[in-house]
Amino acid sequence: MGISQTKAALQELFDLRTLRPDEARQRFGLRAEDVRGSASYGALSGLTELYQAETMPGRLYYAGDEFALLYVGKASQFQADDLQKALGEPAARLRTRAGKQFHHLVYPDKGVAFSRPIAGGTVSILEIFPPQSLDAYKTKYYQDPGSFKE
Amino acid sequence: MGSFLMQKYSHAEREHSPATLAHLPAASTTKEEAATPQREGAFRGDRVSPDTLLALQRTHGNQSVQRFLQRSAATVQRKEMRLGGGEFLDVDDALSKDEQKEQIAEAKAIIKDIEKTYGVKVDSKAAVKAIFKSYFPDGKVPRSFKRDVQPAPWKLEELKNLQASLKHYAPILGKARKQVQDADFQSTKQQLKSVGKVNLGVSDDGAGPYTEQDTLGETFGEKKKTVALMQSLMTADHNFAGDSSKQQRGTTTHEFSHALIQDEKLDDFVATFSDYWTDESTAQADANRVSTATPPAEAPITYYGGTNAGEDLAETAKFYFEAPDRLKGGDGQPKGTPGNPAPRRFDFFNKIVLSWTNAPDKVDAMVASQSAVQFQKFKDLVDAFVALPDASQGLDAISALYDAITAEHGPLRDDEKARADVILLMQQATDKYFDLMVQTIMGLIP
Repeated sequence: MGISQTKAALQELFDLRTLRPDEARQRFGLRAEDVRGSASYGALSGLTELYQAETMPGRLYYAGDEFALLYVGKASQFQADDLQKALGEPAARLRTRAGKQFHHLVYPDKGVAFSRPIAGGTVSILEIFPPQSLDAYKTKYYQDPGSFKE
Repeated sequence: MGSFLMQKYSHAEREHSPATLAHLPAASTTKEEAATPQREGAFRGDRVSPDTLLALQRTHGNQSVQRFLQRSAATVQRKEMRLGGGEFLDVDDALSKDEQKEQIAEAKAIIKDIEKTYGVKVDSKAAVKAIFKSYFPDGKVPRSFKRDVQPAPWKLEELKNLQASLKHYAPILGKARKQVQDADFQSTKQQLKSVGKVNLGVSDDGAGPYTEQDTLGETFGEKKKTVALMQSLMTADHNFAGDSSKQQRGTTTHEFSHALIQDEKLDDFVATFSDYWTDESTAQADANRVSTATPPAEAPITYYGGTNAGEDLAETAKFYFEAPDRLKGGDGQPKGTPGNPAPRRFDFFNKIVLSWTNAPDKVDAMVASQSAVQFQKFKDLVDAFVALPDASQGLDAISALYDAITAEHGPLRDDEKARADVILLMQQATDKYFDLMVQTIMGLIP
Protein backbone atom coordinates (compact mmCIF):
# COMPACT_ATOMS: atom_id res chain seq x y z
CA MET A 1 0.00 0.00 0.00
CA GLY A 2 1.55 3.32 -1.08
CA ILE A 3 0.88 6.78 0.31
CA SER A 4 -2.15 7.48 -1.87
CA GLN A 5 -3.70 4.12 -1.03
CA THR A 6 -2.93 4.70 2.61
CA LYS A 7 -4.71 8.04 2.47
CA ALA A 8 -7.70 6.45 0.77
CA ALA A 9 -7.89 3.63 3.32
CA LEU A 10 -7.62 6.14 6.14
CA GLN A 11 -10.38 8.26 4.63
CA GLU A 12 -12.67 5.23 4.60
CA LEU A 13 -12.13 4.93 8.33
CA PHE A 14 -12.62 8.67 8.84
CA ASP A 15 -15.96 8.40 7.05
CA LEU A 16 -17.23 6.02 9.74
CA ARG A 17 -17.23 8.97 12.15
CA THR A 18 -20.40 10.22 10.54
CA LEU A 19 -22.34 6.99 11.12
CA ARG A 20 -24.99 7.04 13.76
CA PRO A 21 -25.33 3.87 15.88
CA ASP A 22 -28.43 2.61 14.06
CA GLU A 23 -26.75 3.26 10.70
CA ALA A 24 -23.68 1.34 11.84
CA ARG A 25 -25.84 -1.58 12.99
CA GLN A 26 -27.49 -1.72 9.60
CA ARG A 27 -24.35 -1.21 7.54
CA PHE A 28 -22.38 -3.93 9.30
CA GLY A 29 -25.29 -6.31 9.82
CA LEU A 30 -24.87 -6.33 13.57
CA ARG A 31 -26.78 -8.66 15.84
CA ALA A 32 -27.82 -7.95 19.41
CA GLU A 33 -24.75 -9.80 20.75
CA ASP A 34 -22.50 -7.44 18.76
CA VAL A 35 -23.63 -4.48 20.85
CA ARG A 36 -22.24 -4.03 24.34
CA GLY A 37 -23.43 -1.38 26.77
CA SER A 38 -21.52 0.12 29.69
CA ALA A 39 -18.26 -0.09 27.74
CA SER A 40 -15.29 2.11 28.53
CA TYR A 41 -12.21 3.38 26.78
CA GLY A 42 -9.55 5.49 28.41
CA ALA A 43 -11.35 7.85 30.73
CA LEU A 44 -14.59 7.51 28.82
CA SER A 45 -17.22 5.27 30.34
CA GLY A 46 -20.88 4.49 29.79
CA LEU A 47 -20.18 3.95 26.10
CA THR A 48 -21.92 1.62 23.71
CA GLU A 49 -19.53 -0.64 21.81
CA LEU A 50 -20.44 -2.02 18.40
CA TYR A 51 -18.21 -4.78 17.10
CA GLN A 52 -18.39 -7.70 14.75
CA ALA A 53 -14.98 -9.08 13.80
CA GLU A 54 -16.01 -10.38 10.37
CA THR A 55 -17.67 -7.24 9.05
CA MET A 56 -16.13 -4.28 10.87
CA PRO A 57 -12.65 -2.76 10.60
CA GLY A 58 -12.63 -1.97 14.31
CA ARG A 59 -14.71 -1.26 17.36
CA LEU A 60 -17.10 1.67 17.22
CA TYR A 61 -17.85 3.45 20.47
CA TYR A 62 -20.75 5.85 21.02
CA ALA A 63 -21.67 8.12 23.89
CA GLY A 64 -25.41 8.00 23.49
CA ASP A 65 -25.90 8.59 19.78
CA GLU A 66 -22.69 10.54 19.44
CA PHE A 67 -19.61 9.01 17.81
CA ALA A 68 -16.79 8.72 20.33
CA LEU A 69 -14.15 6.47 18.80
CA LEU A 70 -13.20 3.96 16.16
CA TYR A 71 -10.58 1.70 17.70
CA VAL A 72 -8.52 -0.75 15.65
CA GLY A 73 -6.36 -2.92 17.88
CA LYS A 74 -4.04 -4.16 15.17
CA ALA A 75 -4.10 -2.02 12.04
CA SER A 76 -1.59 -4.19 10.22
CA GLN A 77 -2.95 -3.08 6.85
CA PHE A 78 -1.07 0.18 7.43
CA GLN A 79 2.68 0.51 7.17
CA ALA A 80 3.72 2.89 9.91
CA ASP A 81 6.04 4.93 7.68
CA ASP A 82 3.35 5.32 5.02
CA LEU A 83 0.72 6.38 7.51
CA GLN A 84 3.08 8.85 9.09
CA LYS A 85 3.94 10.32 5.70
CA ALA A 86 0.27 10.58 4.88
CA LEU A 87 -0.49 12.44 8.11
CA GLY A 88 2.67 14.53 8.48
CA GLU A 89 4.28 15.57 11.73
CA PRO A 90 2.28 14.60 14.81
CA ALA A 91 1.33 17.09 17.51
CA ALA A 92 2.71 14.71 20.09
CA ARG A 93 4.72 11.52 20.37
CA LEU A 94 3.87 9.62 23.50
CA ARG A 95 4.70 6.26 25.00
CA THR A 96 2.14 3.59 24.30
CA ARG A 97 0.71 0.48 25.85
CA ALA A 98 1.55 -1.29 22.60
CA GLY A 99 5.10 -1.69 23.89
CA LYS A 100 8.38 -0.11 24.90
CA GLN A 101 9.71 -0.08 21.36
CA PHE A 102 6.68 1.80 20.04
CA HIS A 103 5.57 5.43 19.88
CA HIS A 104 2.06 6.78 19.97
CA LEU A 105 1.68 9.54 17.38
CA VAL A 106 -1.20 11.90 18.00
CA TYR A 107 -2.89 14.17 15.43
CA PRO A 108 -5.70 15.60 17.58
CA ASP A 109 -6.81 18.23 15.07
CA LYS A 110 -7.24 15.47 12.46
CA GLY A 111 -8.89 13.14 14.94
CA VAL A 112 -6.42 10.30 14.63
CA ALA A 113 -3.69 8.69 16.70
CA PHE A 114 -1.72 5.52 16.18
CA SER A 115 1.03 3.41 17.72
CA ARG A 116 3.97 2.46 15.60
CA PRO A 117 7.18 0.50 16.13
CA ILE A 118 10.10 2.92 16.45
CA ALA A 119 12.10 0.80 14.03
CA GLY A 120 9.29 0.58 11.45
CA GLY A 121 6.69 -2.03 10.64
CA THR A 122 2.94 -2.13 10.75
CA VAL A 123 0.64 0.03 12.81
CA SER A 124 -0.54 -1.34 16.10
CA ILE A 125 -3.21 0.70 17.89
CA LEU A 126 -5.22 3.03 15.63
CA GLU A 127 -7.71 5.47 17.11
CA ILE A 128 -10.05 7.69 15.12
CA PHE A 129 -12.03 10.22 17.11
CA PRO A 130 -13.69 13.63 16.68
CA PRO A 131 -11.07 16.35 16.09
CA GLN A 132 -10.15 18.06 19.33
CA SER A 133 -7.26 19.61 21.23
CA LEU A 134 -4.27 17.59 22.37
CA ASP A 135 -5.17 18.18 26.00
CA ALA A 136 -8.69 16.90 25.42
CA TYR A 137 -7.32 13.82 23.67
CA LYS A 138 -4.94 13.13 26.55
CA THR A 139 -7.68 13.57 29.10
CA LYS A 140 -10.29 11.45 27.40
CA TYR A 141 -8.55 8.81 25.30
CA TYR A 142 -4.89 8.43 26.14
CA GLN A 143 -3.80 5.60 28.42
CA ASP A 144 -0.27 6.16 29.66
CA PRO A 145 1.32 2.74 30.21
CA GLY A 146 3.99 4.09 32.55
CA SER A 147 7.59 3.04 32.12
CA PHE A 148 8.34 -0.40 30.78
CA LYS A 149 10.59 -2.35 33.10
CA GLU A 150 10.58 -5.76 31.50
CA MET B 1 54.24 1.94 42.61
CA GLY B 2 55.75 0.50 39.43
CA SER B 3 55.98 -3.02 40.82
CA PHE B 4 52.42 -2.77 42.15
CA LEU B 5 51.19 -1.84 38.72
CA MET B 6 53.12 -4.60 37.03
CA GLN B 7 51.92 -7.14 39.54
CA LYS B 8 48.30 -6.30 38.97
CA TYR B 9 48.50 -5.91 35.24
CA SER B 10 46.99 -8.68 33.17
CA HIS B 11 45.73 -8.86 29.60
CA ALA B 12 43.07 -11.34 30.65
CA GLU B 13 41.60 -9.37 33.48
CA ARG B 14 39.85 -6.10 34.09
CA GLU B 15 39.81 -4.87 37.63
CA HIS B 16 37.31 -2.44 39.05
CA SER B 17 35.96 -0.84 42.14
CA PRO B 18 32.51 -1.87 43.35
CA ALA B 19 31.15 1.41 42.07
CA THR B 20 32.45 0.91 38.59
CA LEU B 21 31.44 -2.72 38.60
CA ALA B 22 27.90 -1.59 39.00
CA HIS B 23 28.40 -0.04 35.56
CA LEU B 24 26.05 2.72 36.44
CA PRO B 25 27.30 6.27 36.25
CA ALA B 26 27.66 7.29 39.87
CA ALA B 27 26.84 10.82 40.94
CA SER B 28 30.44 11.48 41.84
CA THR B 29 31.88 10.31 38.55
CA THR B 30 31.94 11.83 35.14
CA LYS B 31 30.45 9.96 32.21
CA GLU B 32 33.98 9.25 30.99
CA GLU B 33 34.87 7.68 34.28
CA ALA B 34 31.70 5.66 34.40
CA ALA B 35 32.17 4.41 30.89
CA THR B 36 35.86 3.61 31.18
CA PRO B 37 35.66 0.10 32.63
CA GLN B 38 33.48 -1.02 29.76
CA ARG B 39 36.22 -0.55 27.25
CA GLU B 40 38.99 -3.01 26.89
CA GLY B 41 42.36 -1.32 26.98
CA ALA B 42 40.95 1.67 28.80
CA PHE B 43 43.34 3.55 31.03
CA ARG B 44 43.09 2.11 34.50
CA GLY B 45 45.89 2.53 37.01
CA ASP B 46 45.60 -1.04 38.13
CA ARG B 47 46.16 -2.52 34.69
CA VAL B 48 48.35 -0.15 32.71
CA SER B 49 52.08 -0.42 32.38
CA PRO B 50 54.46 2.27 33.69
CA ASP B 51 55.29 3.23 30.10
CA THR B 52 51.64 3.86 29.41
CA LEU B 53 51.34 5.89 32.55
CA LEU B 54 54.31 8.00 31.51
CA ALA B 55 52.64 8.60 28.18
CA LEU B 56 49.45 9.55 30.00
CA GLN B 57 51.44 11.91 32.17
CA ARG B 58 52.89 13.61 29.09
CA THR B 59 49.49 14.10 27.49
CA HIS B 60 47.30 14.79 30.53
CA GLY B 61 49.70 16.17 33.13
CA ASN B 62 50.77 15.20 36.62
CA GLN B 63 47.57 16.04 38.42
CA SER B 64 45.42 13.90 36.15
CA VAL B 65 47.73 10.93 36.50
CA GLN B 66 47.86 11.39 40.25
CA ARG B 67 44.06 11.41 40.53
CA PHE B 68 43.93 8.43 38.24
CA LEU B 69 46.32 6.41 40.34
CA GLN B 70 44.69 7.38 43.61
CA ARG B 71 41.35 6.30 42.36
CA SER B 72 42.66 3.00 41.09
CA ALA B 73 44.83 2.07 44.05
CA ALA B 74 42.00 2.73 46.47
CA THR B 75 39.34 0.74 44.73
CA VAL B 76 40.69 -2.53 43.38
CA GLN B 77 38.52 -5.19 45.00
CA ARG B 78 36.97 -7.08 42.15
CA LYS B 79 38.06 -7.92 38.68
CA GLU B 80 36.66 -9.01 35.39
CA MET B 81 38.11 -12.16 33.94
CA ARG B 82 37.77 -13.04 30.31
CA LEU B 83 35.46 -15.93 29.49
CA GLY B 84 35.89 -15.86 25.73
CA GLY B 85 33.48 -14.68 23.10
CA GLY B 86 33.65 -11.14 24.44
CA GLU B 87 32.14 -12.13 27.81
CA PHE B 88 33.68 -11.37 31.19
CA LEU B 89 33.16 -12.77 34.65
CA ASP B 90 33.09 -10.45 37.64
CA VAL B 91 35.03 -12.19 40.40
CA ASP B 92 35.99 -11.24 43.92
CA ASP B 93 39.67 -10.38 43.96
CA ALA B 94 39.89 -11.66 47.53
CA LEU B 95 39.34 -15.22 46.30
CA SER B 96 42.38 -17.41 45.87
CA LYS B 97 43.70 -17.94 42.36
CA ASP B 98 42.39 -21.51 42.45
CA GLU B 99 38.93 -20.36 43.49
CA GLN B 100 38.94 -17.78 40.73
CA LYS B 101 39.97 -20.44 38.23
CA GLU B 102 37.16 -22.66 39.45
CA GLN B 103 34.65 -19.87 38.94
CA ILE B 104 35.98 -19.20 35.46
CA ALA B 105 35.76 -22.88 34.56
CA GLU B 106 32.22 -23.13 35.89
CA ALA B 107 31.12 -20.00 34.07
CA LYS B 108 32.61 -21.25 30.81
CA ALA B 109 30.89 -24.60 31.28
CA ILE B 110 27.53 -22.89 31.82
CA ILE B 111 27.94 -20.74 28.72
CA LYS B 112 28.89 -23.81 26.70
CA ASP B 113 25.92 -25.76 28.04
CA ILE B 114 23.53 -22.91 27.29
CA GLU B 115 24.66 -22.84 23.68
CA LYS B 116 24.81 -26.60 23.21
CA THR B 117 21.63 -27.58 25.06
CA TYR B 118 19.39 -24.63 24.39
CA GLY B 119 20.76 -23.20 21.15
CA VAL B 120 21.22 -19.82 22.80
CA LYS B 121 24.47 -17.88 22.65
CA VAL B 122 25.59 -15.78 25.57
CA ASP B 123 26.48 -12.65 23.65
CA SER B 124 26.42 -9.29 25.39
CA LYS B 125 27.75 -7.43 22.37
CA ALA B 126 24.77 -8.70 20.37
CA ALA B 127 22.49 -7.36 23.10
CA VAL B 128 24.06 -3.92 22.85
CA LYS B 129 23.72 -4.02 19.06
CA ALA B 130 20.06 -4.99 19.38
CA ILE B 131 19.41 -2.04 21.68
CA PHE B 132 20.99 0.36 19.22
CA LYS B 133 19.16 -1.17 16.27
CA SER B 134 15.81 -0.78 18.02
CA TYR B 135 16.24 2.77 19.26
CA PHE B 136 18.40 4.12 16.42
CA PRO B 137 16.88 2.40 13.41
CA ASP B 138 18.68 4.78 11.05
CA GLY B 139 21.96 3.38 12.35
CA LYS B 140 23.18 6.76 13.56
CA VAL B 141 24.08 5.96 17.16
CA PRO B 142 25.41 9.04 18.95
CA ARG B 143 28.90 8.74 20.35
CA SER B 144 27.63 9.26 23.90
CA PHE B 145 25.41 6.17 23.64
CA LYS B 146 28.22 4.09 22.18
CA ARG B 147 30.34 5.21 25.09
CA ASP B 148 27.77 4.72 27.84
CA VAL B 149 25.88 1.59 26.79
CA GLN B 150 28.23 -1.36 27.04
CA PRO B 151 28.31 -5.10 27.67
CA ALA B 152 28.53 -5.82 31.38
CA PRO B 153 30.44 -8.61 33.11
CA TRP B 154 28.46 -11.53 34.51
CA LYS B 155 28.59 -12.82 38.01
CA LEU B 156 28.63 -16.59 38.33
CA GLU B 157 25.29 -16.59 40.12
CA GLU B 158 23.76 -14.59 37.27
CA LEU B 159 24.89 -17.18 34.74
CA LYS B 160 23.44 -19.92 36.93
CA ASN B 161 20.16 -18.05 37.08
CA LEU B 162 20.18 -17.61 33.31
CA GLN B 163 20.75 -21.32 32.87
CA ALA B 164 17.94 -22.12 35.32
CA SER B 165 15.55 -19.81 33.46
CA LEU B 166 16.35 -21.47 30.15
CA LYS B 167 15.74 -24.85 31.72
CA HIS B 168 12.11 -23.87 32.27
CA TYR B 169 11.71 -23.78 28.51
CA ALA B 170 13.95 -26.77 27.78
CA PRO B 171 11.39 -28.78 25.77
CA ILE B 172 11.09 -25.99 23.18
CA LEU B 173 14.78 -25.11 23.00
CA GLY B 174 17.66 -26.52 20.99
CA LYS B 175 17.46 -30.06 19.75
CA ALA B 176 14.64 -30.87 22.17
CA ARG B 177 12.30 -28.64 20.14
CA LYS B 178 12.22 -31.28 17.41
CA GLN B 179 10.43 -33.57 19.85
CA VAL B 180 7.89 -30.96 21.01
CA GLN B 181 4.33 -32.25 20.88
CA ASP B 182 2.43 -28.95 20.68
CA ALA B 183 1.54 -28.15 17.08
CA ASP B 184 1.98 -24.41 17.62
CA PHE B 185 5.64 -24.97 18.42
CA GLN B 186 6.17 -27.76 15.90
CA SER B 187 5.41 -25.37 13.08
CA THR B 188 7.70 -22.57 14.22
CA LYS B 189 11.42 -22.20 14.75
CA GLN B 190 13.07 -21.19 18.00
CA GLN B 191 13.28 -17.42 17.93
CA LEU B 192 15.60 -16.77 20.85
CA LYS B 193 19.19 -16.87 19.66
CA SER B 194 21.20 -14.85 22.17
CA VAL B 195 21.15 -13.37 25.64
CA GLY B 196 23.48 -10.69 26.89
CA LYS B 197 24.11 -8.50 29.87
CA VAL B 198 24.21 -4.74 29.40
CA ASN B 199 25.08 -1.96 31.84
CA LEU B 200 22.27 0.47 30.94
CA GLY B 201 18.89 0.41 29.29
CA VAL B 202 17.73 2.77 26.57
CA SER B 203 14.23 4.15 26.32
CA ASP B 204 12.47 6.59 24.03
CA ASP B 205 9.17 7.99 25.27
CA GLY B 206 8.75 10.11 22.17
CA ALA B 207 11.25 12.87 22.72
CA GLY B 208 14.26 10.81 21.69
CA PRO B 209 16.38 8.01 23.14
CA TYR B 210 17.97 8.31 26.56
CA THR B 211 19.85 5.94 28.83
CA GLU B 212 18.14 4.75 31.97
CA GLN B 213 18.29 2.26 34.82
CA ASP B 214 14.56 1.41 34.98
CA THR B 215 14.59 -1.37 32.42
CA LEU B 216 15.48 -4.73 33.91
CA GLY B 217 15.29 -6.81 30.76
CA GLU B 218 14.16 -6.38 27.19
CA THR B 219 13.49 -8.55 24.16
CA PHE B 220 14.55 -7.22 20.80
CA GLY B 221 13.81 -7.70 17.16
CA GLU B 222 10.68 -8.46 15.23
CA LYS B 223 11.70 -12.10 15.45
CA LYS B 224 12.60 -11.70 19.12
CA LYS B 225 16.07 -13.07 18.64
CA THR B 226 17.90 -11.24 21.39
CA VAL B 227 17.25 -10.71 25.08
CA ALA B 228 19.18 -8.10 27.05
CA LEU B 229 19.39 -8.36 30.81
CA MET B 230 20.34 -5.07 32.38
CA GLN B 231 22.75 -4.44 35.21
CA SER B 232 19.84 -2.95 37.20
CA LEU B 233 18.17 -6.38 37.28
CA MET B 234 20.99 -7.82 39.30
CA THR B 235 19.98 -5.96 42.44
CA ALA B 236 16.23 -5.66 41.78
CA ASP B 237 13.67 -7.46 43.91
CA HIS B 238 10.39 -5.71 43.14
CA ASN B 239 8.43 -8.95 42.68
CA PHE B 240 10.34 -11.05 45.20
CA ALA B 241 11.29 -8.84 48.12
CA GLY B 242 14.74 -9.58 49.44
CA ASP B 243 15.47 -12.22 46.81
CA SER B 244 17.27 -10.66 43.87
CA SER B 245 18.28 -14.08 42.60
CA LYS B 246 14.63 -15.06 42.24
CA GLN B 247 13.95 -11.71 40.60
CA GLN B 248 16.72 -12.39 38.09
CA ARG B 249 15.20 -15.72 37.18
CA GLY B 250 11.71 -14.24 37.19
CA THR B 251 12.55 -11.36 34.88
CA THR B 252 14.62 -13.60 32.62
CA THR B 253 11.74 -16.07 32.47
CA HIS B 254 9.43 -13.12 31.69
CA GLU B 255 11.63 -12.05 28.77
CA PHE B 256 11.79 -15.61 27.49
CA SER B 257 8.00 -15.64 27.40
CA HIS B 258 8.16 -12.69 25.00
CA ALA B 259 10.80 -14.49 22.94
CA LEU B 260 9.53 -18.05 23.06
CA ILE B 261 5.81 -18.15 23.85
CA GLN B 262 4.19 -14.90 22.80
CA ASP B 263 4.02 -15.38 19.05
CA GLU B 264 2.65 -18.90 19.41
CA LYS B 265 0.19 -18.37 22.26
CA LEU B 266 -0.83 -14.72 22.60
CA ASP B 267 -3.95 -14.98 20.45
CA ASP B 268 -5.09 -17.96 22.49
CA PHE B 269 -4.29 -16.08 25.70
CA VAL B 270 -6.34 -13.05 24.63
CA ALA B 271 -9.24 -15.29 23.60
CA THR B 272 -9.09 -17.18 26.89
CA PHE B 273 -9.04 -13.96 28.90
CA SER B 274 -11.43 -12.00 26.73
CA ASP B 275 -13.29 -11.03 29.90
CA TYR B 276 -10.25 -8.88 30.75
CA TRP B 277 -8.54 -8.27 27.39
CA THR B 278 -10.46 -6.68 24.53
CA ASP B 279 -7.43 -7.43 22.37
CA GLU B 280 -3.70 -7.67 22.91
CA SER B 281 -3.33 -3.96 23.71
CA THR B 282 -6.54 -2.97 25.41
CA ALA B 283 -8.10 -4.16 28.63
CA GLN B 284 -11.63 -3.86 29.92
CA ALA B 285 -10.20 -2.17 32.95
CA ASP B 286 -10.01 1.22 34.62
CA ALA B 287 -6.96 3.43 34.98
CA ASN B 288 -5.76 1.23 37.85
CA ARG B 289 -6.07 -1.83 35.62
CA VAL B 290 -8.97 -3.12 37.70
CA SER B 291 -11.46 -5.17 35.72
CA THR B 292 -14.58 -3.23 34.78
CA ALA B 293 -16.51 -6.40 33.93
CA THR B 294 -19.48 -7.50 36.02
CA PRO B 295 -18.71 -9.64 37.90
CA PRO B 296 -15.02 -8.69 37.86
CA ALA B 297 -12.81 -10.82 35.64
CA GLU B 298 -9.58 -12.39 36.83
CA ALA B 299 -6.94 -9.66 36.49
CA PRO B 300 -3.20 -10.14 35.84
CA ILE B 301 -1.02 -11.32 38.69
CA THR B 302 0.79 -7.95 38.77
CA TYR B 303 -0.05 -4.36 37.91
CA TYR B 304 2.66 -4.46 35.25
CA GLY B 305 0.89 -7.42 33.66
CA GLY B 306 -1.99 -5.06 32.92
CA THR B 307 0.18 -3.07 30.49
CA ASN B 308 -0.83 -5.27 27.59
CA ALA B 309 -1.65 -8.94 27.04
CA GLY B 310 1.94 -9.79 26.11
CA GLU B 311 3.13 -8.47 29.46
CA ASP B 312 0.29 -10.31 31.19
CA LEU B 313 1.39 -13.58 29.60
CA ALA B 314 5.03 -12.87 30.48
CA GLU B 315 4.16 -12.08 34.10
CA THR B 316 2.13 -15.27 34.19
CA ALA B 317 5.22 -17.17 33.01
CA LYS B 318 7.36 -15.45 35.64
CA PHE B 319 5.10 -16.52 38.49
CA TYR B 320 4.23 -19.92 37.05
CA PHE B 321 7.86 -20.91 37.17
CA GLU B 322 9.14 -18.94 40.13
CA ALA B 323 6.14 -18.59 42.47
CA PRO B 324 3.29 -20.85 41.32
CA ASP B 325 1.50 -20.65 44.66
CA ARG B 326 1.41 -16.87 44.41
CA LEU B 327 0.08 -17.10 40.87
CA LYS B 328 -2.73 -19.37 42.02
CA GLY B 329 -3.33 -17.72 45.37
CA GLY B 330 -2.58 -14.09 44.55
CA ASP B 331 -0.92 -11.36 46.55
CA GLY B 332 -3.92 -10.45 48.66
CA GLN B 333 -5.88 -8.43 46.12
CA PRO B 334 -9.58 -9.05 45.45
CA LYS B 335 -10.71 -10.62 42.21
CA GLY B 336 -10.51 -8.16 39.37
CA THR B 337 -7.55 -6.25 40.80
CA PRO B 338 -3.96 -6.97 39.70
CA GLY B 339 -2.41 -9.21 42.34
CA ASN B 340 -5.61 -11.22 42.69
CA PRO B 341 -5.56 -15.02 42.70
CA ALA B 342 -5.01 -16.05 39.09
CA PRO B 343 -5.78 -19.78 38.92
CA ARG B 344 -7.04 -19.50 35.35
CA ARG B 345 -3.76 -17.98 34.28
CA PHE B 346 -1.94 -20.78 36.09
CA ASP B 347 -4.03 -23.34 34.25
CA PHE B 348 -3.44 -21.61 30.93
CA PHE B 349 0.32 -21.73 31.31
CA ASN B 350 0.25 -25.19 32.82
CA LYS B 351 -1.47 -26.50 29.72
CA ILE B 352 1.20 -24.92 27.54
CA VAL B 353 3.99 -26.55 29.53
CA LEU B 354 2.30 -29.93 29.56
CA SER B 355 1.65 -29.67 25.84
CA TRP B 356 5.36 -29.44 25.12
CA THR B 357 6.00 -32.96 26.26
CA ASN B 358 2.50 -34.35 26.02
CA ALA B 359 3.24 -35.57 29.51
CA PRO B 360 0.10 -37.62 30.16
CA ASP B 361 0.83 -39.66 27.04
CA LYS B 362 4.35 -40.19 28.31
CA VAL B 363 2.97 -41.62 31.49
CA ASP B 364 0.75 -43.93 29.50
CA ALA B 365 3.80 -45.09 27.54
CA MET B 366 5.71 -45.69 30.74
CA VAL B 367 2.82 -47.62 32.18
CA ALA B 368 2.52 -49.69 29.03
CA SER B 369 6.22 -50.44 29.09
CA GLN B 370 5.76 -51.92 32.57
CA SER B 371 3.04 -54.29 31.45
CA ALA B 372 4.09 -56.97 33.90
CA VAL B 373 3.00 -54.74 36.71
CA GLN B 374 -0.46 -53.51 37.50
CA PHE B 375 -0.07 -49.77 37.32
CA GLN B 376 -3.64 -48.67 37.01
CA LYS B 377 -3.81 -47.21 40.50
CA PHE B 378 -0.52 -45.50 39.86
CA LYS B 379 -1.80 -44.04 36.61
CA ASP B 380 -5.06 -42.90 38.17
CA LEU B 381 -3.18 -41.07 40.85
CA VAL B 382 -0.87 -39.42 38.37
CA ASP B 383 -3.86 -38.32 36.35
CA ALA B 384 -5.46 -36.97 39.49
CA PHE B 385 -2.28 -35.16 40.37
CA VAL B 386 -2.10 -33.51 36.97
CA ALA B 387 -5.60 -32.16 37.43
CA LEU B 388 -4.95 -30.72 40.86
CA PRO B 389 -5.17 -26.96 41.16
CA ASP B 390 -2.53 -26.39 43.79
CA ALA B 391 0.69 -27.71 45.19
CA SER B 392 -0.61 -28.60 48.64
CA GLN B 393 -3.10 -30.96 47.09
CA GLY B 394 -0.23 -32.18 44.95
CA LEU B 395 1.64 -33.14 48.10
CA ASP B 396 -1.28 -35.21 49.33
CA ALA B 397 -1.65 -36.85 45.96
CA ILE B 398 2.00 -37.73 45.67
CA SER B 399 1.96 -39.02 49.21
CA ALA B 400 -0.97 -41.22 48.28
CA LEU B 401 0.84 -42.21 45.11
CA TYR B 402 3.85 -43.23 47.12
CA ASP B 403 1.71 -45.26 49.47
CA ALA B 404 -0.08 -46.92 46.58
CA ILE B 405 3.15 -47.93 44.93
CA THR B 406 4.59 -49.32 48.11
CA ALA B 407 1.33 -51.17 48.85
CA GLU B 408 1.41 -52.72 45.42
CA HIS B 409 5.09 -53.46 45.10
CA GLY B 410 6.38 -53.60 48.61
CA PRO B 411 8.96 -51.23 50.00
CA LEU B 412 10.79 -49.10 47.48
CA ARG B 413 14.51 -49.32 47.05
CA ASP B 414 16.34 -47.94 50.05
CA ASP B 415 13.07 -47.01 51.63
CA GLU B 416 14.15 -44.16 53.82
CA LYS B 417 16.22 -42.46 51.16
CA ALA B 418 13.55 -43.05 48.54
CA ARG B 419 10.94 -41.45 50.75
CA ALA B 420 13.24 -38.49 51.32
CA ASP B 421 13.71 -38.13 47.58
CA VAL B 422 10.00 -38.20 46.99
CA ILE B 423 9.35 -35.73 49.79
CA LEU B 424 11.92 -33.38 48.30
CA LEU B 425 10.15 -33.59 44.97
CA MET B 426 6.84 -33.10 46.70
CA GLN B 427 8.12 -29.89 48.18
CA GLN B 428 8.81 -28.68 44.69
CA ALA B 429 5.49 -30.03 43.64
CA THR B 430 3.70 -28.19 40.96
CA ASP B 431 2.20 -29.79 37.95
CA LYS B 432 5.19 -28.84 35.87
CA TYR B 433 7.34 -31.26 37.84
CA PHE B 434 5.05 -34.19 37.73
CA ASP B 435 6.77 -35.84 34.80
CA LEU B 436 10.05 -35.64 36.65
CA MET B 437 8.40 -37.01 39.76
CA VAL B 438 6.91 -39.92 37.90
CA GLN B 439 10.25 -40.78 36.38
CA THR B 440 11.96 -40.53 39.71
CA ILE B 441 9.38 -42.66 41.46
CA MET B 442 9.57 -45.22 38.67
CA GLY B 443 13.31 -45.28 39.18
CA LEU B 444 12.83 -46.09 42.82
CA ILE B 445 10.92 -49.27 42.11
CA PRO B 446 13.27 -52.21 42.52
